[in-house]
Amino acid sequence: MKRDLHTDEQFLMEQFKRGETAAFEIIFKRNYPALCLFLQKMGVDTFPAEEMLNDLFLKLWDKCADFDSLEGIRGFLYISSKNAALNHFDKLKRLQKREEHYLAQQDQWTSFPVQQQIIYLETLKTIEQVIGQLPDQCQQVMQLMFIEGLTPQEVADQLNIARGTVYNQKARGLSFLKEKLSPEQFLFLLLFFDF
Amino acid sequence: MKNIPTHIIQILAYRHIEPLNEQQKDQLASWLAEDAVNQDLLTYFDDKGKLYQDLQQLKQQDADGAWEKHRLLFEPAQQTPVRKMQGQAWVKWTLAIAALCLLAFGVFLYQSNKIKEDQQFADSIKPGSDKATLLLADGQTIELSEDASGIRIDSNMKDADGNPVLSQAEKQALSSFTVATPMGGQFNMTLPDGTKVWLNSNTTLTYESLKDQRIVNLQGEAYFEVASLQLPGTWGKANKLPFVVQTKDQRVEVLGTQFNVKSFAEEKTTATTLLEGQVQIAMNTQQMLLYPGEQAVSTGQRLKKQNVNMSTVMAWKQGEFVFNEEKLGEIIAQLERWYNVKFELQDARLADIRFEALVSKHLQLKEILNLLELTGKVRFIVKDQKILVKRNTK
Repeated sequence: MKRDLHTDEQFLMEQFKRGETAAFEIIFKRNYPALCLFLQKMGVDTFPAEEMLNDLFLKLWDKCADFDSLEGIRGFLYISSKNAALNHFDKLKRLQKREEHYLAQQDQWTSFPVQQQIIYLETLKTIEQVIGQLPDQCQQVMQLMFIEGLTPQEVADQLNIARGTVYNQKARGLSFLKEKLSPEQFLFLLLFFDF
Repeated sequence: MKNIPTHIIQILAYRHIEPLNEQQKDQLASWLAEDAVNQDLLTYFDDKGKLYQDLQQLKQQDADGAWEKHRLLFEPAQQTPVRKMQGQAWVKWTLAIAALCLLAFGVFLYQSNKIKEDQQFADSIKPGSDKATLLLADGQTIELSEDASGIRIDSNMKDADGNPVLSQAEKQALSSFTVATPMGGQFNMTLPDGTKVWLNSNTTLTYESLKDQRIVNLQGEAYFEVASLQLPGTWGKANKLPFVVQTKDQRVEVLGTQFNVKSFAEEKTTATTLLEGQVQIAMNTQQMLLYPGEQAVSTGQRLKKQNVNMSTVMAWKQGEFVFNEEKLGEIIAQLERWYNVKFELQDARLADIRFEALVSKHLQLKEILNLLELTGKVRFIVKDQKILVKRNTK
């Protein structure tokens, strides 16, 4: 049987350990956006954030044989990003540019331990993955309802559609997710959705 | 670092899409109960505007673009083209290469011997264990091994075979004695007055029982659970028998409570941390009253009070290393004491790099060093019976 890097995590990990670029590409693309946001939420500007991540992924690639699980890789990436950001700020402080970043640090975000920060970002990733799989209008409805917390009427007003359409799209979205997901994931969804 | 709970991530995500069922609610509730900060995180999630904004921002990150931009770096090194050599040049080159090979082989032989030695040394590093030496007032020493752990030091002390340890004369001498742990050792025991003491590595404690007080001299780190004693023939709080811990600078006086004192000779600071009850700290002319959760730290002539994370302070007694944004200098000091090894910093500034970690003290040193290396900040190299710490320049 042919194994698929995208769905077979064990295979992905094996290939990664062997230094296969295709596996590395998947791990890169899966983690890159959340790490960018992670750094930005700490107050790192886009450009230095990109640089940091670039260095970090190179390091990960160098040490590919040392990792045994995707969780291990994820932990390494987050923790190292945090350390890179802290070092970056130390340097900035020395350059007397502290004020610029002071505002960003005021956010409650920086008071969370790194474990909670990782949970937050991984949750965002999950929400984005789940909703991103939906067809267009359906996606908009789900997003407005569940992420922005609008009522069906508000969603209807905003998208200029009938309230009934909102309910239809919501039902469609749920059944779409049901079809799209793998059996185990579906089971998992069933636990939540209580059809 | 603790594991990231995958099921909680799923629950937090679907929470925004459909109501949770009972099982999910229970799981969420028990996660919230684990740590107050989890509730804060949930509140943070419920700030809909922020969540939406963060989701938008997440979507805008261009992973494909970044990959394209840097893919060359991540691809396996390309073969560099080989130029063909002409005429007699190959003879010279062959000779030169042969000479180099011989030289390299010689260096390799020498190196591989050294590497073998370094490897053997690395393998011989073991975590510490329960052991200590008891020194009696008459100069006699008694080795206390693992099976003596938790022993009560009093006149009825027995060895592993059940024979009395002390002679009649020695029992008389027991009003004062010293217990010392070596590097790579720790020990817990009960003092004659009923006070329980845990000694960390490389620690020396001298106990003396006087008529009106109990005095302990401490160098190193120890945790005390002091037995509350009444002065003979009295009653009431005012007549309790004081228990005094004297370190190089602080004097800690208590009646009956639990606290940790850290005061190593090679370190500038002394820190007394209170878990329960109340203690009185004195240094020179300064005095300070400590309440649970507080730590009295003295550096040179200054005595100040601060709040600390108890689990970090007490980790050593629980068999753990907890490094909470801890400086490498302090981490190394702890590892040196427990594994009985020497570290050498290539550059003194390395001591200020901070790390976060929670690991068991039973791990091999190699495993802990690997974890620290994973941060990409430092590298550890075993060389000549020492561990060299280098900045990771890659």
